[in-house]
Amino acid sequence: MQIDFSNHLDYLWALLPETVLTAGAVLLLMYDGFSRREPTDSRAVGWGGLVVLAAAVVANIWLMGVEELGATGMVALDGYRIFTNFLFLGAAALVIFISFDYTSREGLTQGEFYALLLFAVVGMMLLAGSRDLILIFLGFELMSVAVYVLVGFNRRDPRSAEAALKYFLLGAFSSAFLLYGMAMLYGASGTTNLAEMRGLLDGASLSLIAMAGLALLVIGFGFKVSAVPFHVWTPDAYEGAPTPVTAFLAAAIKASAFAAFIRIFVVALGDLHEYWERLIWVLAALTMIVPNLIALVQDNIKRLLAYSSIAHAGYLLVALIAANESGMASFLFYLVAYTAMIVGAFAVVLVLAGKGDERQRLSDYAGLGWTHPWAAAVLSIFLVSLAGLPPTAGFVGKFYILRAAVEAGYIILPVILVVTTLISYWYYLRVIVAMYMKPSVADMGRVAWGGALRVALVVCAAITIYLGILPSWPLLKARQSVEGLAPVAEQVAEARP
Amino acid sequence: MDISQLVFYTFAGLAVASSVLMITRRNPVYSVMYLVLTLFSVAAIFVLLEAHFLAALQVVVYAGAILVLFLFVIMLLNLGHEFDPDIRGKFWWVVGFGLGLVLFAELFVLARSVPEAPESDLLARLLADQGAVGMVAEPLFENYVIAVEVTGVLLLVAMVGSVVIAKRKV
Repeated sequence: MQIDFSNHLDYLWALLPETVLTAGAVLLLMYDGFSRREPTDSRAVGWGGLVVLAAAVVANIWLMGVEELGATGMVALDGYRIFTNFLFLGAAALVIFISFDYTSREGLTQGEFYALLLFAVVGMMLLAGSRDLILIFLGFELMSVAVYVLVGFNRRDPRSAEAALKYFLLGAFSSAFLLYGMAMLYGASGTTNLAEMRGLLDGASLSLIAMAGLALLVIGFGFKVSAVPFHVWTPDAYEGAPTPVTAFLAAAIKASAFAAFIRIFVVALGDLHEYWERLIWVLAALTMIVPNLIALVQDNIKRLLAYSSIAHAGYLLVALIAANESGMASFLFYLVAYTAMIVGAFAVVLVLAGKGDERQRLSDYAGLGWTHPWAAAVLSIFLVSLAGLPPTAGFVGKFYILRAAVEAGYIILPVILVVTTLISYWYYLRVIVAMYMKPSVADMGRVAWGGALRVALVVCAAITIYLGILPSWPLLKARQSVEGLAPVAEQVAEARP
Repeated sequence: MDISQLVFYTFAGLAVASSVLMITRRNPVYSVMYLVLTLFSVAAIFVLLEAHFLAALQVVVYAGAILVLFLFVIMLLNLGHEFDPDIRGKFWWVVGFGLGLVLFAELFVLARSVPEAPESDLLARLLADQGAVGMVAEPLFENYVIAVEVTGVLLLVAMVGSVVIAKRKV
């Protein structure tokens, strides 16, 4: 099928996965509204959410066979969008799988939880797949509004409220930056369409407005992907949010913000690489160094993972700054690997924390390797992968990012990446050492592993190991899906000796 | 000076004066009233620019609905009395003044680098072709129809979210 965007009805077809998700989420809301709102109803809404996600996956597969006329529609129909769509749908499914236990344990039995999750996914897909600044901003807001509520979903917990308020205030603040930057780019180029903007912004003589817009966009995205020095909200929001939502925040939200970041900067502003390169270079370096040092002294496992997630944003920024095809392919590859390992790690933390999220300190994990061998083994896999040791996905992903950065002619940035990775071994291994080499302090007793959660853990662990051992097929797919996205790659390579 | 210029300067002056009054009043209710006046004056300037539909929207939506909402909230929360200024200490006055200067400089730069204004008869022709409402509605419901739909979903999510957060019984 061919999509012709001059006929406005064709947008319906181009946005089929989003449409399916929105319709499904509205239906789930209706069902929840008319149900008796007992815990079983909430569970049913969760399973319904999984069905809707599966339908969206089918729609996304259908989208692979669709072509577009020209490449200037408000919505992109390229491999990049389809790949990221799969990623978001998969991440949302994993989060729903790990939420069943948590929501019933903590008494969060409102069905809106799952509906809001689906709405957030709609926002993410619009964010990563749009080729127009207006739609990108609306996608951002749709995603953020849904997630603000999810972060504050546990209304009995003051920590959750604190996290939601912080996230909301800084999120709204950063949206203002983003919107201001977009307005300035619009003022400088006269269009909000990313494909057209590329031809209209002249790299040789960039106006002051465009430069200011560029800087504001970097700040806005810096907040959204929690790059240092715009990261201060992250540990608090991650710690206070319900743990499945934390996993969602760390994996999918960050991935979608990054996807839009890359689409705007590499596709629309690719010719201006020399202007934004310095700025993002500093951000990337800081984002790798600072959180890795702070994480060394963390004692709370959720905070530790939060700082780890900030550091991973730094590694992804290195892939962004390379701005070539292997950079973007390694970015997509790393996103898949990162989603699997961070969701898996938070899933284990979620179960071990017990009722009321009480056991989150590192000392609670002492001796875990002997009392709960399976939990400790699975958590070790994810931590080793987050640290970037072979034979796991984290190692391969970091390797590809390094290669892309070196290909693009950067030297110091890859060195920083390697050194900070070495530093980060300390705090990841500290957890593993505590689990296997320290005597147990307080007995954890039995912990409840739900069936759905076990499935999610197995899937995450399988992806982590599989990508670490046989990375060539996924990497090929990632590379195919970014083909033609960045004609800038050759120019940058030429400009550097 | 012809009559339209006279009207423009009257309403522009009114807008500036009332917005200054709005931020300097200590009583929130007075501030809101001055804000209404500002928005009305801006609506009048829209009329001068022949953007009649925009002017009507400005009056109905901003000066009407949103400002009434403001007043409601102020009275509901019982804020209708005088407040100390938020800005305390000389340092923050200087900072605020500096930020204002930056904005002013930005305005200056923007005004200098803006491309030449579109020809005025282009606007008149469009107006004759499509009418004041059509000029807004056609791009909105054709080129940007997806954005309008997404905005609808966004508002739905915001509504559901606020109910989830704020309802009394969990």
